[in-house]
Amino acid sequence: MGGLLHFATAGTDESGDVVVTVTPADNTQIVLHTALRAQFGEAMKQTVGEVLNAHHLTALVELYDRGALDWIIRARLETALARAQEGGI
Amino acid sequence: MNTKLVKTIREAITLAGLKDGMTISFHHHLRNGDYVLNLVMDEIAAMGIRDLTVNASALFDAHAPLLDHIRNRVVRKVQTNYISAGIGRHISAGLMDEPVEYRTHGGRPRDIALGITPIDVAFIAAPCSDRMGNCTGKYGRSACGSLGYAFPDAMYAKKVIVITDELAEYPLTGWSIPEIYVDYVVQIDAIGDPAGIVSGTTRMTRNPVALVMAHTAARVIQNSGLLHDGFSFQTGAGGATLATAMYLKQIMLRDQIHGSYAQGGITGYLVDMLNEGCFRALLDVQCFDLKAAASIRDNPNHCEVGAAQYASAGAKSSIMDSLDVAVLGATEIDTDFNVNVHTDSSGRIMGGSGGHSDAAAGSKLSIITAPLFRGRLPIVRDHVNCISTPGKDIDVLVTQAGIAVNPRREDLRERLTQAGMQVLEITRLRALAEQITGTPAPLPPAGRVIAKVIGRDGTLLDTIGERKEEE
Repeated sequence: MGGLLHFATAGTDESGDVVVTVTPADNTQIVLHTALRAQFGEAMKQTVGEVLNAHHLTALVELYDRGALDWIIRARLETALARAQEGGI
Repeated sequence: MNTKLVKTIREAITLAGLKDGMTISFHHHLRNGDYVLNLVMDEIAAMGIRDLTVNASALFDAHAPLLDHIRNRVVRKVQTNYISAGIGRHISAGLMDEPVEYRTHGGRPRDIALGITPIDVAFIAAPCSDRMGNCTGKYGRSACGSLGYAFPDAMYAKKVIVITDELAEYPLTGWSIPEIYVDYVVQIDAIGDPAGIVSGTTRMTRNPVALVMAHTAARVIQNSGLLHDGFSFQTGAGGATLATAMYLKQIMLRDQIHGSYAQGGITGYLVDMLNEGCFRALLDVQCFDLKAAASIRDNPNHCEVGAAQYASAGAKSSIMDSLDVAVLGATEIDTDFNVNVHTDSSGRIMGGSGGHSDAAAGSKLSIITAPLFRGRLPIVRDHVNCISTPGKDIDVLVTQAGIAVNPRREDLRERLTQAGMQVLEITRLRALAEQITGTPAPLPPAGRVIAKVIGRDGTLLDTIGERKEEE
């Protein structure tokens, strides 16, 4: 698998948002930086896994979370993955 | 010339006879600008005195040096009504062997007066004092307005030390605390940083969610049957609670309603309402901004009240007993209407009751304004992490998505419904919140008890468990 060409990011460091970084990798790894690990850590990992599977991609994904809702995490990840598959940076 | 002036804080502490294991007290009118608590604690540590109990009406991040005094066993125990997050997270992580004793702004003076929490030496930060200890917060370059929370300390502590940075000629007129209670007076260079003592002006929120909640809360008051001549009111200094006063003022001016008083922590906005005739008096335990501090000095209808008269359930009466409406906040509220203002959604200390549960219990109508969620965390929950104010004392929850009325107040639900307001079940509001945020996983179990929450009547309301820092 794999599928990403290069590192990419999406999102902002504002409250209620999330910065998503994606790095090409053959095996998916998800790293969370969030104050809500206890409450939403598993839900965040599940969301990332779902989005990657839907696109048949693997990647190292890091979330720098500032309390983003689930659909925001999905949107930022989709954007980061799209950017990581474009030519150039 | 007779004088109680001594040269240094250390000399006053020695004369007061402070020994290992005793209890000392502080008040919080200088808020995050306070220098006095740190100056006194540093002096006590240097003198080698240990194992003290600190009874402070509130602790702010400016008091972070207290953490080292706790580590070094200068301080063994803390009694307080509020702890800001910067200090609270260390307490939550297990810094202290003995649990913190949390009280309310009314419970603290009650227990001091009853001798349940006796004070050996009280330290009173006073922006202006004369040489015999007549002192006030109304004058001086560190003027903070009311000194209400320090009244019980002055009246009941065995020894009272006034610390000031402005010495007035005897007699200071317009004192808040009279010389009859004071043992020693110390003059120092500065008791606080004026920028941290009161804010210049209290900012009115422009957050649309807060404004929607405030507008709804004002309509709840309007339709409650309580808004008529003689109306009395308490609200907070921030966000939706202060904005509720803005909408309430419009209604009171339009309908020419003349209230009796507003009470509690006072902002410039309430001063405007006094001056425009919405209220006949302000009863002020704490000034939040410069306008309030100037008004309490200049306007005889803007009165200082001590902590016991403000909120004590042990007094023969307090102004809470005559209060019509209180508008309050919450970090969490559960489907039984229990409110948490002590811990964040991860269970870590970041606040305290202050006057929350006193106002909820005393008022005829208590309204909680809270958004459905903050960040990704739903505010309406099945169970709050900590019960700060019991649900039996809460009447209405106002969120941006609608209001819920405590089933105990069927009369109020009928009134609001008849006035055309839609009332939802609180479980419906919880479901609406979780539709947006998802359902949070339960927190792992907390560790040993690191704080006790004592209700305004002296009974144990809840406990807070240890939460180690992550990573």
